[in-house]
Amino acid sequence: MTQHLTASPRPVVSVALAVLVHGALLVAGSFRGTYDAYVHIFLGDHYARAWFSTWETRWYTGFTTVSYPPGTHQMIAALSKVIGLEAGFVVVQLTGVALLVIGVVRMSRLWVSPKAANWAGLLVVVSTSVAEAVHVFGQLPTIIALALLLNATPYVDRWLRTGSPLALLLAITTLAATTACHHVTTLFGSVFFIGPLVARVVVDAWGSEPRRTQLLASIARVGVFGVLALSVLITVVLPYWLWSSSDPISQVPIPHGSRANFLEERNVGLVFFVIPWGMLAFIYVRSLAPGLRGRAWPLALSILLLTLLGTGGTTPIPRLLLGGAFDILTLDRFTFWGTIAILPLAGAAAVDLFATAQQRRSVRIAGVFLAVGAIAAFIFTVNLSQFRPLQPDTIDAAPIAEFLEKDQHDRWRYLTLGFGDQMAWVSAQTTATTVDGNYHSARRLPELVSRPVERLEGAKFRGLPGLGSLQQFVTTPERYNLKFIFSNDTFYDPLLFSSGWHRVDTLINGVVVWERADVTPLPDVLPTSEVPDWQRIMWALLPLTAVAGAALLNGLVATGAIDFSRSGSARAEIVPSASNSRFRRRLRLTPSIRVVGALVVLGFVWVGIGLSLLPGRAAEGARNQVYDFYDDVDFGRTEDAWTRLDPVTRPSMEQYLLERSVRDGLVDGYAKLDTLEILDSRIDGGAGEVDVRARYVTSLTAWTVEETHVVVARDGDWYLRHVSTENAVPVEQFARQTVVDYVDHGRRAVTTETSDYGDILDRPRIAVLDSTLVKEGENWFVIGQVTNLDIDPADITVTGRLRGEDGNELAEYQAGIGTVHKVLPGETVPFRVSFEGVIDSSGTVDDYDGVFDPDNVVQLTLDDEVASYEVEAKALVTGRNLERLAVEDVQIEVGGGNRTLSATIANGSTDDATLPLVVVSYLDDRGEVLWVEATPMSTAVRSQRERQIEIDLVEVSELEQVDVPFDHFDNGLLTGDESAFSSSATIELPDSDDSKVAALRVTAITFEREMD
Amino acid sequence: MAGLSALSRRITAVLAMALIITTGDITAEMAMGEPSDQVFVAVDSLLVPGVIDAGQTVTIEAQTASPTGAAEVIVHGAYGQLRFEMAIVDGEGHLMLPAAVTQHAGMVTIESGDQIETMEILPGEVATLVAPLVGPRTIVANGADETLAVLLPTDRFGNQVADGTDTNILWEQPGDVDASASPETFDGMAWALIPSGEIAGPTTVRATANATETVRGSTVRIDEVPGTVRDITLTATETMGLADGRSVVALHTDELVDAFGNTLADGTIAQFIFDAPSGRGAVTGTVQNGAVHIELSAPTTPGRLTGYVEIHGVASNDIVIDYVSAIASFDARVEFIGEEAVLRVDNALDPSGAFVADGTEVAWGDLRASLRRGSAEIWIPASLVDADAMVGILGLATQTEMETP
Repeated sequence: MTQHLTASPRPVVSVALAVLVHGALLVAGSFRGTYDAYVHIFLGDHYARAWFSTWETRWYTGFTTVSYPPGTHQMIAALSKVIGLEAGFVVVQLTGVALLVIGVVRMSRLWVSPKAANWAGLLVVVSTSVAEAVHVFGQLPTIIALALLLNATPYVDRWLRTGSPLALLLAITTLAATTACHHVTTLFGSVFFIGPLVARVVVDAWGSEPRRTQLLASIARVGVFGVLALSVLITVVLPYWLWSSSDPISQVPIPHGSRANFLEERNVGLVFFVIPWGMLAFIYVRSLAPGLRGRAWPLALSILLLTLLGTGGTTPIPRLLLGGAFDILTLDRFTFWGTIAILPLAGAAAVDLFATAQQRRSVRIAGVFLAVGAIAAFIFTVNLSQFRPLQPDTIDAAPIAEFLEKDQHDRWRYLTLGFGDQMAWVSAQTTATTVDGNYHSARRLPELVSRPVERLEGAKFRGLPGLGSLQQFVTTPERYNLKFIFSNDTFYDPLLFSSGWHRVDTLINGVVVWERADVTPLPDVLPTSEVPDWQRIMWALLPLTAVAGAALLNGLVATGAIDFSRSGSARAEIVPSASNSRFRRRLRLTPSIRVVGALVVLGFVWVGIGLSLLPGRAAEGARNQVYDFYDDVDFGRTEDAWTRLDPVTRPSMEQYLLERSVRDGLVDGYAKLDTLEILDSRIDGGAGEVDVRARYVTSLTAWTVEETHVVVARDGDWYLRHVSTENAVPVEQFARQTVVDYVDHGRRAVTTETSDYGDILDRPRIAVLDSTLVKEGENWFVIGQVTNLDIDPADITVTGRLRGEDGNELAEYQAGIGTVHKVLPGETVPFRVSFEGVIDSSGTVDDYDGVFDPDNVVQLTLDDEVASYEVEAKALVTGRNLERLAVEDVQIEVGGGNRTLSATIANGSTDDATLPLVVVSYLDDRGEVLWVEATPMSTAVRSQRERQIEIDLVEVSELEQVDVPFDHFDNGLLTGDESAFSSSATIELPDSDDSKVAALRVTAITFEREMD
Repeated sequence: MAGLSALSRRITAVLAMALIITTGDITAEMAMGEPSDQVFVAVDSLLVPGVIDAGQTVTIEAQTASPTGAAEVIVHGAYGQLRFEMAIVDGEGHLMLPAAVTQHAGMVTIESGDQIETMEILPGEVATLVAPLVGPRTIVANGADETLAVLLPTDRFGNQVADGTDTNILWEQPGDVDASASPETFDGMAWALIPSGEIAGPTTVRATANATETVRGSTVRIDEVPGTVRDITLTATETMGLADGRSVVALHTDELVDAFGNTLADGTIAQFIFDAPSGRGAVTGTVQNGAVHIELSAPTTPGRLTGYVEIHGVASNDIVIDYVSAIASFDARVEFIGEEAVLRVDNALDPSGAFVADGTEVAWGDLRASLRRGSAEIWIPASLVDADAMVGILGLATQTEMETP
């Protein structure tokens, strides 16, 4: 029994366990749901396709790959030739985990007994921080680099103590491999893992005899090691340093949860602090205290510092310590390092625990608790993404790659929406390029670096700032040769539809393909910005050579081909004197200290857990009932919402569910509740009214709904009065309708050859009727209207250009929201080009607070006065999105200094109008457009039904019409004398002081959820 | 250590191989072909025919001072640069340029040492008429619009034919109208303007190259389409109706034609613009089978509706429909139940004595409900009841009957 309890797990067993457990999880595909795995696979794919290339065209319109050390990616690339990319990733990751176990054991032996070190190796296997890094975050370079760094520590220690050249060679070679995989680990990790070794050796030298000689020797060795370490850090990834010095990152910081205040954002604290520490938190004090009092005090101090830095924004200390780097670094790395650095001491604590357990039953129980807890925490961590999905369901990338390859679709750029990190996997399957990417440090497009959004594809998760960035791309796709969007999230439908995009197909994997017509293809040869040839060769060969060299030398040591144990000079070895060695003088913690320490840790953990579980607000009173009702509706808890309705007057559950199921539209189908504000409540006894303002975020705009809810009290509980919103009953039970439909075959012959001349349709004849240059504050707009003179429907693209005195172009932008893009034959539609600036990454980015206001645009910075402008309209034949809604009962109401347009929008078609968009053109007495405003309706209009709308009219008198020369171009030709007509109904305004606006033209278009 | 040395050698060899393989593409790029270092004899004179036909075999003769050896001949043509070696025997050399080298028409420069001669290769007869390029391919059948047909005739080697070559462009317009033009080529092209006719429909365009019409190109189709509408006559199926918000009046136009009698294309937008007692409105329809059919729902407010259809900016005649009230009577009373009040509407009847249609809106101040079998309820807290609020259904409003709380 005694033998059993005092035995320690052999490292080989720990390595085997690690490979078995982590290998099984990785092979089962745990990495597919992680944040970073596919990014590393994509970069591996880059090297697999072009080993010597340092320019990747597929993301961000091109970026340099010297922005990230290539070691791990090149390993994946090399393996991918044999076993494929995904398997290559798994093998490299698994190798990293195995090396990490070995590294922890080797590093631990420098600080604690071999037995304790062996326990440390076992603790790595069940480490929640490693599990999280591998199976939740998908970190590869971090794992490999740390593993290599830890394996370098025995060599460093040997060099510092004995001056063994072989040890120095091994240390530097292993550090070179570390750098090849992740330079940050070498740079910062050395401070926390090698720094303590240096400190201990110097202190030992101070206590050795002869002190002066030993001290000088140790300082000299530290100096040599420092110089060489710095040299390899610079040399191995020299192109990276040259690039970063010539192209410094200037981006709006992207918020990262690890910088948050974990007490305020408890979910984030759980992920970035509580889970990584896991069961180690329970033995934190027990591990650290002996370390602080013993010879391992430098390591203990390092752990304390790492713990502190890992708390992110919970305290101001990390920001004070890191300065500006606080907003760039992801601080969870410090927590990760902390959880690894503490393992030697935790291993020692485990040995003590087992020794004590022989005498005390309570300790045995605690041991069982810790062991079971560690396994449970590990299982919980690796399954975290099951409890709280971090990524969309797995998307089959093959149909997307196939779509891009066929019909030369890869001649344009594409964008993915709602793919999560799987967008990187899509990219790895194709040579087509996207404006987006998944490696934000490489972004250089001003539209991206000026917003705190990591990826366009997940814009909604960054709220309005992210959507602002996305809007620029979908409004001006021509600028980026962006023609296709693959959408896995209907949230973005309103934005895409309103910006002139249309759906072309639903792929077999359920992803919807959106297209924008008339976008110029990419040139055959894309610009590249490769680093000089000598750097390319260096980048292609040196990092992997460093890894191979380290693997070779360490392999020789491991196999005994190199006898490392006898290296070094015994004569010169720095050995701590007995008087100075406090390592053996173990601190005997008094029971009170132990109890207090444990209570502090336990208190911290349980308070954290408790806070995270506390409801945000008590569900009491009428106001809270309204809050909770909205919350239930927003999260789809329909039955819970129903229970909050007045039991006396509410419909049956079935009826309520039925009523909810027929609701659709911008708010009900495409919005996320952002904030809910109780404006007022008028409670009188057991009944009253509550006024609420709900703010929803949609991809199109922030949408505010103000409603008054009647509340009643029944038996002390408050309920909301149900209001039925779907009252109308269509006239016809079975409606029939004839429509004109269109189909464009594209290439009529099934061939891969270039489109036949006869298959290319003429551009529809269109004419820009009129236009106006409008200035509102510092914002510029070009307003106008276009008529489709052709017999074919037209998909129009309108571009506005501002020119200076010399005819130089000051700005160019395309018409987006506020424009009817699909035009029926003979129809006149308005357009609005809302010029938007791009925040200059070199100038004003630091001044920008990153907050996007959908009602404002980023102002243009013009280099010159606007002397003239151009409007260029071009069109292609289309047969899509031509649905129109009837506008009836239009009335203009004047009150309170405002004018309101009220109308009924009727849907006489056989399809539901999911996202109606009402475009109001303000016309002067000559019928020319003064202003255009598009207003989405919050609710859908089902087939054969109608809805009331109210729109506050814009005060056009506040807009400045700028009278400068202009040119109109129709399909590239200067507008000729061709007689153009304007169509569509107008509504004369009642006489008012605002004499500019004589009439309104109201056009109602709609997006239909169901594809034809 | 011996084992270690062997292992090291193997690893070094493997690494070296990998280095060689991976750098192969770079070194291959760098290893450009070196010019030959062979010594050629100098050529004193070159004899080259001045003009030949494309595809003709040509022999180049040279005189040299050296009795034997080889001379280098470089031929620069439209295809680029070709290098030949000419054997010299007894001070003379003969080089036959194969037909493949003389297929491309144009000027050819033949160079050997400092001797440079030129030769012109003439294109052959028309062999292929690339399909007529016609644009635009949609024109208005108004007798004034036009499109341009362009030919790019070539010989059997793909050379553009000589200027002045006769071609024929023929087109057949709707109404069996045949016409043609006979342009000569200039700079490789021949072209003709094709005026539109006055009848909408497909026009076919083809081309021939000589009198026997043995050389033809593909036929291209263009569309002559109707122009703007001439006038619009609008009629309604009813002139009277119930203002119930439900019943439908059908509006339709006569056949819509342009100034030349061509029926308007399907899909052209038509808007019915109307003024009703409840406000202005517009219903969008499209031309289908040459006419417009629009179904107009009745307003909910009684009164006169006048409207017209507009296509291409051309307005139709006005139509007038008088709508009468669709409700005869209803009962409305407010009951107070505890701290709540309920408006009950019952017996909402239309002029025929039947219940007003389900779904018809009941308005009580700002509150709304729908009739179902002639009845509706609206609940509110008693304290919020506005005693002066009217109850309205389809334009008929009444004061509520209040029960004493």
